[in-house]
Formats: sequence, C-alpha cells, structure tokens
Amino acid sequence: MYRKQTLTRASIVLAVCSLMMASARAQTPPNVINGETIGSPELVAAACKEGAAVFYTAQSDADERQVVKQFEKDFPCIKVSVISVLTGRLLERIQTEATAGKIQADVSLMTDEAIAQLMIEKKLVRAWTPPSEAKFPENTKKSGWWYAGSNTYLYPVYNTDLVTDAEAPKTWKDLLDPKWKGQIGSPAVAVGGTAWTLYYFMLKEEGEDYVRKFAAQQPKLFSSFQPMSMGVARGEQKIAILANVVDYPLRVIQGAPIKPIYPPEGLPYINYPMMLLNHSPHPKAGELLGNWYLSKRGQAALVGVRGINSVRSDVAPAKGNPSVSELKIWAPTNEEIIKNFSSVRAKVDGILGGR
Amino acid sequence: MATIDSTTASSVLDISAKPAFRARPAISGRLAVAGLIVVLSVLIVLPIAVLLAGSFLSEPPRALQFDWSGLTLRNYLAVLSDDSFFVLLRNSFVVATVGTLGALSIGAGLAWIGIRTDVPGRRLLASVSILPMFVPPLVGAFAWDILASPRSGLINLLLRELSLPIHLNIYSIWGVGFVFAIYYAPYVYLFVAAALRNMDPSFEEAAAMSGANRWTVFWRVTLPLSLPALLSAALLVFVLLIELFAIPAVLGEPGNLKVFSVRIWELIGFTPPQVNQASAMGVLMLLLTVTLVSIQHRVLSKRNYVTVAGKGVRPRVISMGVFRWPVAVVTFSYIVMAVLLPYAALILIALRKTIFFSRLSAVFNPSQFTLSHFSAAYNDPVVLTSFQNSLIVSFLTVAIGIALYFAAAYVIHRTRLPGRRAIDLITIIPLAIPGLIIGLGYLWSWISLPVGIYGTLWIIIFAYVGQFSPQGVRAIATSLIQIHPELEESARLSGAGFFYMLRRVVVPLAWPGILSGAILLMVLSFRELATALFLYTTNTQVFSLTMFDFWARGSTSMVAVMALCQSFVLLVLVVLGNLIRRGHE
Amino acid sequence: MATQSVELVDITKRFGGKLVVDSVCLEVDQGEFVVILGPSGCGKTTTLRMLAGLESPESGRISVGGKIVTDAARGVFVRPEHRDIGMVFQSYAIWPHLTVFENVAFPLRVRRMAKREIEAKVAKVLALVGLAGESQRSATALSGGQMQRVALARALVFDPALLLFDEPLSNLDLKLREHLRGELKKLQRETGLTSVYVTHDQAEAVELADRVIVMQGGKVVQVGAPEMLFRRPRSRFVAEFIATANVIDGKVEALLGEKTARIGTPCGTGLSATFEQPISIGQDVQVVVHPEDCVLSPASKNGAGYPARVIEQQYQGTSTRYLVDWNGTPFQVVALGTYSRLETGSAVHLAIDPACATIIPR
Repeated sequence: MYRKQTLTRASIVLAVCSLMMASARAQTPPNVINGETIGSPELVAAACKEGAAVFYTAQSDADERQVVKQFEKDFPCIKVSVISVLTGRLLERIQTEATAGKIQADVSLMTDEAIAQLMIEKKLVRAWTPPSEAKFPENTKKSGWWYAGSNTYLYPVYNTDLVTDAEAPKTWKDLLDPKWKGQIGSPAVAVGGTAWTLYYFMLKEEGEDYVRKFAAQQPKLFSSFQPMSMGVARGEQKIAILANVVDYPLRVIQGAPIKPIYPPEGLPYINYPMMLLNHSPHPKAGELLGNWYLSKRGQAALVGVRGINSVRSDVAPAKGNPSVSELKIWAPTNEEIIKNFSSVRAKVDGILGGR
Repeated sequence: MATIDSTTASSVLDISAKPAFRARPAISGRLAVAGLIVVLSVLIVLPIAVLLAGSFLSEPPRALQFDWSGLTLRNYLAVLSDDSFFVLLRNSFVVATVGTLGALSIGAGLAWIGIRTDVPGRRLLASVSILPMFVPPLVGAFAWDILASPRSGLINLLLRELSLPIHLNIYSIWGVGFVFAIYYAPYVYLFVAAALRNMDPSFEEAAAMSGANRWTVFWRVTLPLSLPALLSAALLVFVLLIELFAIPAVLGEPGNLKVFSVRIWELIGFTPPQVNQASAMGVLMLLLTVTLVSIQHRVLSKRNYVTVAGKGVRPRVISMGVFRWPVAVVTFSYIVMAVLLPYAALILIALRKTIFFSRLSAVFNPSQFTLSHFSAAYNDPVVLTSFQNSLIVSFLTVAIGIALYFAAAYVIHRTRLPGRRAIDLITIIPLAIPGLIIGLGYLWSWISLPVGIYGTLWIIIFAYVGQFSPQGVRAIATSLIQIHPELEESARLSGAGFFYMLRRVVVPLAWPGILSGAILLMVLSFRELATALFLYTTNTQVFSLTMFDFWARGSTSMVAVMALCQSFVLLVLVVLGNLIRRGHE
Repeated sequence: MATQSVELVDITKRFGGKLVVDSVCLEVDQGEFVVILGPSGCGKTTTLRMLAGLESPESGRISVGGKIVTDAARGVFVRPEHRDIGMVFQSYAIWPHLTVFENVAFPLRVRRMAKREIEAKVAKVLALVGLAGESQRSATALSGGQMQRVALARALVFDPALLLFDEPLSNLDLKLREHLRGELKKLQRETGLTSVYVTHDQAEAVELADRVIVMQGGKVVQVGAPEMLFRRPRSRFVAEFIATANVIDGKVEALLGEKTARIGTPCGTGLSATFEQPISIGQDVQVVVHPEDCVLSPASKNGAGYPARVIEQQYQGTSTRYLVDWNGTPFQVVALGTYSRLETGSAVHLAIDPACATIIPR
C-alpha cells in the first residue's frame, strides 16, 4: 500500500517537473540581444534542443565560468561546462579525443595563432562565420575559421614599493639600464604564443642587438606567468614583463602594489583564437556560445572579468584600463607568425639560452 | 596515527612469507590470477607501454593509434642534446640529494631520539613525527613560499625588522632541499623507527658488556645494524623526490631552479607541446628510478639480520642527562617548521585581503582581515563540485583499490600460484613513474577502451588505483604476512571454503593493515595533483586541480582557504580511520 | 581387525626439484594411532600435509575412509575443507580475534549447525579437553597448554573421520609435554579416532603410537610397533635415531640357528646375535646392542662374558653409564640402580644376550 502511494506521488512530481521543463523549453530565448543578432532563431531553437555546450579554454577556469554565467542567463536552456587547461595540454587532449573519435568539446579558445593554424590543418576545426564577423578588424581573425575571442598584450610592470614612479622605466629601451640588471622577470620564449610575440617584437622593432643587450641584463626567465606576476606583486622582483590578463586581477582586483608601463614603442599584442571543433557533441549550442562570446554582450562580460581590451571598438575598456585607441598596439599578422614561428624561437633560444 | 606507522614503513618492505596453502592450485585459482593480471595490465602496464612506445615515435600513439613508420630515436636525441639537459640533471640530482640527506638526518634523528633516549615528550614525538606526511606537498611548498621568499617572506620580514643581517632564500637549492627534507623526513622515520624498535637489545647489551661506552655502542653496533633501513629509506625518498612536481613547481621557478618533473610539465604545456620528448624524458626518469627501486629491493631482501626479536622488546634507552630539554626543544622545532608555522601562515593568508606586504607591521594591519575568502570559496560552485568530486574519487579509489590490492597481496604472499611474481612486479612499477607522465599514458591508452570511462570520474579513479598500487599492496601485505599460515590452514581443515576462510579469518586478522592502507590511500588520492591533469573533463574536476588553478591565477588567499579545507578533511579522515581501528581492537 | 581407514599409495612430492617425499606407501587402520617419526627435513610433515590436502603430491594416490581424496594420475583432488579431517597444528593456529568458544565452534558454524546444537557440542568437547568454563575467554589470553587443548577441541568437535597432529607438543616445556602426551593417548583411546601424528621426539612416538613409521630422506625406512623399533631396528639410522646404541662392524662367521648367527668383530671375539633379514656367511654386517641390554660384572667374579675395561663412567642418579674398552672398541653399558659398583680402570666382564643383539646389513 505504502509503496504504491509513494509511487503515485513520485509520478505526479515527475509529471509536474516535466511539464515545467517543457514550458521552459517552449519559451525559446530571443535570438537578438541589445540589438545584436546572436544567431538565427533556428540556431537558437536547435541549440536549446541540445541543451548543453562544452567549452575548452586556455584562459582561467574561474574567469571563464563567470563569463559563461552571463550566457546561461541569456540562454537558460543551455548549460555550459568549462574545461580550462594550458594551450599545449589542451591541444594534446583535443588531438587524442579526435583520434579516438570522442571529441568532448564544442568550442575552444587557444592562446596561440600557430596552434590555431595547426588545428585548422589537422581538420580539428570546422568553418564558422559568426554574425559579428565584420566587427572584428583584419588581423584579429582568420575569417571563416577563427576570431580573437580574447587577447592580451605585454608590458613591463614594476613594484611601486621598490621602484618610484620617477625611477621606473618608461620605454622598452629603458629596461637596458644597468640598474635593472638581474631585476627583470621575463617569460621564456617557449612558453607560448604570448611570449613568442614579445620576443618577435623585440627582434623586429628593437633589433637583434636589443635582445642581446636584454640577455646581458640577466633577466630571470619564467616558464609561466603566475610565479612571475606574484614575484613582482610581492616584491621579490622589481620589474616583470607581464601580459595584461595576468597583471589586471592582481593590480585591480587584489590591489597589489604594481603599476604597468605603456611604452611608446608599442605593446606586443596576441590574439586568442576562438574556434568551433569538428564532430563536436553539441554543434548548435557550441556555435551559439561562440557567437555570443564574440558579441558585444559576451565581450563586455569578458572585459569586466579579465580586464582585457576587446578588439571590438564598440566594447568599452575595463575599469582603470586605457582604451585601445590610447595605446600603441603592435600586432604581427597571422602569416608573419606562422612563417617566422620556428626561426624566432631558435634565434631567441640561441641568445637567451635554451629552456 | 600509529596505524600508518607500521604499515607505511613496510609499504616497500618485501618480506617473503611462506605461502600458506601449497595444494595444487585449482583451475579457479589460476583463472583468478589470470584475471588479476589482465586487470593490473590494463591499469598499469598498458599506459606505461604506450608511453614507452610513444617515446620512440614521431607522432604520439594517441588512442592506441601507433604509426610505426615514424619510428625514431629523435625524441631521445632531442632531450639529450638539449643544452639544458645536463643543467636539469645536475639540478634534479643536487636538490634531491640535499633533500634526501636532510630527510635522512631529520627522520633518523627523530626515530633515535624518540625511541632510544629519555627526552621529555618522546611518546608524543612518535605520533607527531609522521604528521607532516599529511601535509600535501603543494600546500607545504605554498606555505613556505609565504614564509621564506627572499624579500617579502614573513620570516625575512621579521629578520629585517630585528635588523639581523641574515635572510632566508626558499627559492635556492638549499631552500627547496629544506622543504623536501621536512616533508619527506617522516618516510625515513618510519623505516628507521621500525628497525630500532625491532632490534634485539642483546646486540647492544653484548657490546656494552664487552666494555664499549654508549657512543661506541651507537657507532659500532646500533648504526651498522640500522644501515639497511637507512639505506632503503634514502633510496625511496630519493626516488620520490626526483619525481616530485609540486614543490619544485612552486619554489623552483622563481629561482630558475629547473628539475626533470617540472621540465616534463613544461614540455607538455608549451606551444607546440613536445609530448614525445616528454615521454622520452619520462622514460629516462623511469630508467633511473627503476634502478634505484630495484637496488632498494635488494637492500631490503638482505636486511633480515636486523630484526631478530619479535614483540615485547624493550629498547635500550640512553640517558641524555642535562641535554634532555635542549634536545627536546630542537626535536619539537621540527614539528613547528613542518606543520605549525606553515599552517599559521596559511591561516594568516586565508584571513587577509591580500598577501602584499613589505614590512611586518603591514602584515597584522587589522583593516586587512576578512572572512570574505571563506565565503567566496563556499559560494564558488567549482570549489564545491570539485570538493565533492574529490571525496567521491577518494572513497571509490579506496573501495576498489583495497579489494584489488588485497587480492594482489594475497596472491603474492599467500599462494604459490604461477603468475604471482608478475603481479608483484607489476604492482611495484608505478612507484618509479612520475604521476604527470603516467597521466598522459592513461589518456592515450584508455580513451579508446570499449567501456566509455573517458569523461567520467571513473578514469581518474582507475588511474589512482593503478598509481597507488605500490603503497596499497604493500600496506596490506604487511599485515597479511604477519598471519601465520596455519591459521588459514586450520580454517580449511575445519571445513571452511576459501571465501568463508577469507571472510572469517584472514580479513578480520588483517583488518588493521587494511584500514591503514585505506587511510593512506584516501590521503594520497585526495591530494594527488599531477595524475588527474589529463584526465578530468566536464564536471570531473578534482579539488587539488581547482586549487592549482587558483594558484596559477594568483588567487593566493583562495588557495590558502582551500589548502586549509583540504588539510582539515585529511585530518578528519585520518582521525576517523584511527578511531575505527582502535574500536576494532 | 578393523577396516582400513587411510591409505597412501606411492606418494611423491618435490619442492623446486628437490625430492622431499619419495614413493611413500602407508596404511592406517580404523581406530589406530600412527606416529610418523623422523628428523627434521625427512618429509614427515609434508606427508601429513598431503594427507590433509594442504599440499598436493606429484604422483600417487591417497584415500581416507575408502574414499579417494587425491589421485595425481586421474587429477582427483578433494580440497581440505571437504576431507572431513581434524588437524592440530604445531603453532596451535588459534585465531586470536575469536574467543575460545568461537574458535571451537568454527567448524560447526561452517557446517551451518543449529545454535543450540553448537553450544552443546562445544561444551562437551571443551569438557573433554579439560577447558570447561573457559569458553568465553579471549584466545590470546591462554597459556600454551591451554591453546593446545583448544586446538584439539576444535579438531575434535565435528567428529572427523581422521585426526592429524603436526608436532603439536613441540612448543611446550618438558613437564607439560609429558602430561599432555598421557592425556592425548587417553583421549584417543576414549574417542577411538583414527590418528596420524608427526613428531621428531622418539619418546612421544613410543608412548603414543600403536604403530610407528620412521622416515628418512623422504622414504619410509621402518614400520612397526614401538618395541620392535628398539628390539629389531632394520638399519643403523633407526637404531641411532630412536636411542643411543652400540653399533659394531662385523662379518657373519656362522649361522647358529634359525635366527641366530655368530659375528666376527674387530674386538677379536665372536658375538652371537639375532637376525631378521636374510644373511649369508661372510657378509659384512653391523650389530646393534642397546647399552641397557648388557650386563657388566667385575672380572674378579667368575662371570660369563667378554673381557673389557672400564674407561669412563657417568653417574646419572638412577643409573650409571659406563664406557668400556672392549679390545680396543669403545662400548657403552648402562647399569640400573643408584649404586655404581665398578671403578674406572677396573677389568670387567661384558655379557650380551644374543636375543638383544640385532644384526643389520651393512
């Protein structure tokens, strides 16, 4: 008797639940946000039907979850899972998953254009043109394949407890001042596209001689940005060359005593390509997530969390950051990167010492 | 905590006991062993074989797709011809040696002082000496970074405040070696304490009766008799330190102190990733560690002459005289350095808004104190989910692991079934392989298993079960070999079938060992970082990975909060386990 | 007599290539108490364990109660738990995590006996071994002798077809051992259980056994009633293993009767002795004489016997052990009594009863 009752009760609850879910599903969210089209109504409907999307990203896990939370608010019918691993490891996983025919993710965001190119060549990525394609300037996309969903640029950062504003370097050349000998932290060239671009900038804009002199300053070479940024923030290091995505949370959110320099020679800039993966489990929801991420809404959320400057001119900079128009961004072209990738690495390795 | 004591000490001891039951193995026994070997092969041999193959190929054997046309030695050449290889080799060796020697002197000193002297508080010493084992290396490294980084480390701030001309540099070889030493000293302690406890006092008494004073007795009798234990402890610690990732990753980097394990991490993380070179380097490390482990095996097999007397031996106690108290202070300062100071620093950081201070007065600025990090951690769904995941993973690893390890230990030590030596060998291998590189092997080999475990917690659980088999099998083996074979035989002759006998006789008698093994396994799987790195996917992130992610993002306070939570959970688990054990006795 | 209970046919066992049990054949009758006696490493324990089913032979056949439990040729092997054999182990093998009661009740629990019946049976068997009232004690709190009684109770409680003992008394002190030996024999007589008992202690064997089986180097070298081992050892090994004996080399000189022969010895004199195994004149043999079976008398008296001289004597309380020089051959004699009547150095007569001197082939 008792069992029968519980069963009935359970089935009623179940029925109510499914009704509610059905009604939630029935209300397909709007496909236009703040006047910007995220995708066709069919795409939104199909994405809602899939109900989930998986996002492989090289950016910080917690940051991405905050950004994606906004997406889930806009499209409550889709649940997004974020997996955050460094670019190299992400690539290895995607390749292994593809070989096994078990691709887990729909969208990926890498920190390296050369890797993006490799993924296109290995057919791990599918063609994609988001509605906001035109909003992305040349050199921040490979049209039809990837778009700079995120980015970073590099600049020297100094500890304000150890270095006064007056003594602080103002330009890249100032880093060669003997007083900074042994006081500078810098990423090793092998770390990834970000570090590569820094040295490519040094070689191309300041000359090979500059890199030699920089090497003579005996910079401490780090293989990830974290210990370097903590080092300068805690005063273990006077100056460090950081990516703004690393510097921002420490400086603005945690109030670390550090200050960036915006050298007039330029800020080496790196695209973080966003791509859709081939044979992915939720192609529609993945596409919708990608479209949203590149929209003004998505980019604004990203800027708010990570303090980057969106490449979209219609997205305002984060609190305390200058706008892109005030900065001298130095960005190599995709062709340049792919052409020079190995030679620059070898050259820098030769000068700064292999790592 | 005494539970862990005996089992872990012998976790690598290989005492060959007489098999209980020599009757002709039944077909079912052979089948069971065959099954066990298959399971262990999938868990351990396959991933390693795939890595080994990968180190000779130009394209990694992802999902078991071997491209033999790319057979090459280039990966090894690349690793060996790299200028930095010898720097890595030197660093790894020097820092592991410093750490081993330090651990050896601390561990052996604690054991000797705690067991053979009349220093006050020596009973307490026995239970606190192994406490640092429960501090995850990542947490210990992180805490010591805060305590002794050259400029803003709390200790250095204090030294500067006192205008003392000295300062500590935790980023140096000596600094990293020091942290190695304090967190690996308990392993040495376990070995040496066991040897000292079991040593027949008549050896020393005979020397004393022959006219030797107590220092002569120590140098000429006690020390030589403890030498096998010291040597094997040293080899084990050296192997563990060569593989260790967390401490050099946190403390080595700022001082440009590169070691093999961190280099492998980089090779896989750099763009483009050099996975084949990473496996080649992993195989080179494997060669080194396998050599050391087999030497240790040798040493242990010859150590029988040390222990003669069984239980109930009252060790000779040496009076320290006026030095009793000073020695006690020095001894207990170890616990201060390895546990109290680091946790004090963690609590401080967890309660402070930021970790940026340049003088001591700023550290205790009351306006900086807040509980917000605790609430932030509590409200972070990732922290909570990964915490839950870690609990599930740990419990299931223990449940599956213990059953498997029991079966393996039983076959190895209690039967003469063909194949038992293979099982013994297979279950020791993971000791010699760094978790980081084996994670890659698991990914490559298991993703294509017909049973879809990739993307679930199971893949992490199975990886842990494989990874921790050396510790688990040996913990259980210790208690199994203490059970006299005739206790089993008499059950059989009383009419009990094999499983009835296991249930009613062997398991109850081996229970303390099984429980200690379970606690050890729980601790290891809750804190493991490197192995899971390639295996977690959607919703299967584990707690230590979340912690590492926060660390990599500079959210130091969150890391402190999580480290405190992790340590608290480990403490609760250990205490609970011991209560159950005591209750059982 | 009673039916045959245990039979071992041509049992052979090797450990790592080493032959430990070599074609052993053995029969035990219903209700018989058989002791397997031998020095350590002679294969006696292995033989017992094969009977129990704890080892399996390489070849041969074993049957218990008419049922074949092991037949290597046909691949038959009944597992120990199905053999219905009780066994008392050298280490007692008392499970430390169980009480006395639970230890003894174990075989009954395995057989899923009713609770009431278990209680009754355990109480009965505990009373039988003299442990009534101790049933709730922890097994680890017992003395060695008590543990042995528990082990015995456990082996008896399920009324096995056969009882095996693997040196059960060797870990006890002498007094207790002698005491328990007596009890064990009494118990076995009362229960009438067929028993096989392994020991290296000849005193135990003599006292307990209906029949003794002497093993050496994996082979059975002699089977017989205890007194026959002493009286008619079939080899020098048996003679010397079970007791101290004088063994003299010699040659058969003449056959004196159906069972008697004269043996020429290095002592120069002919010695009359008994033979069991066929011999021929001129054969090299040895003669075994137990020191207790000879008589020494002072040479001054007009006694019969061979002339000898006392070279050493050892007073042993209720007897005296003399070492005499018999024409250059040392020879031991034990004289009973609390008086030692012969002086060292004195000439004596050594009398040997031909019935007490056994000829064994060399």
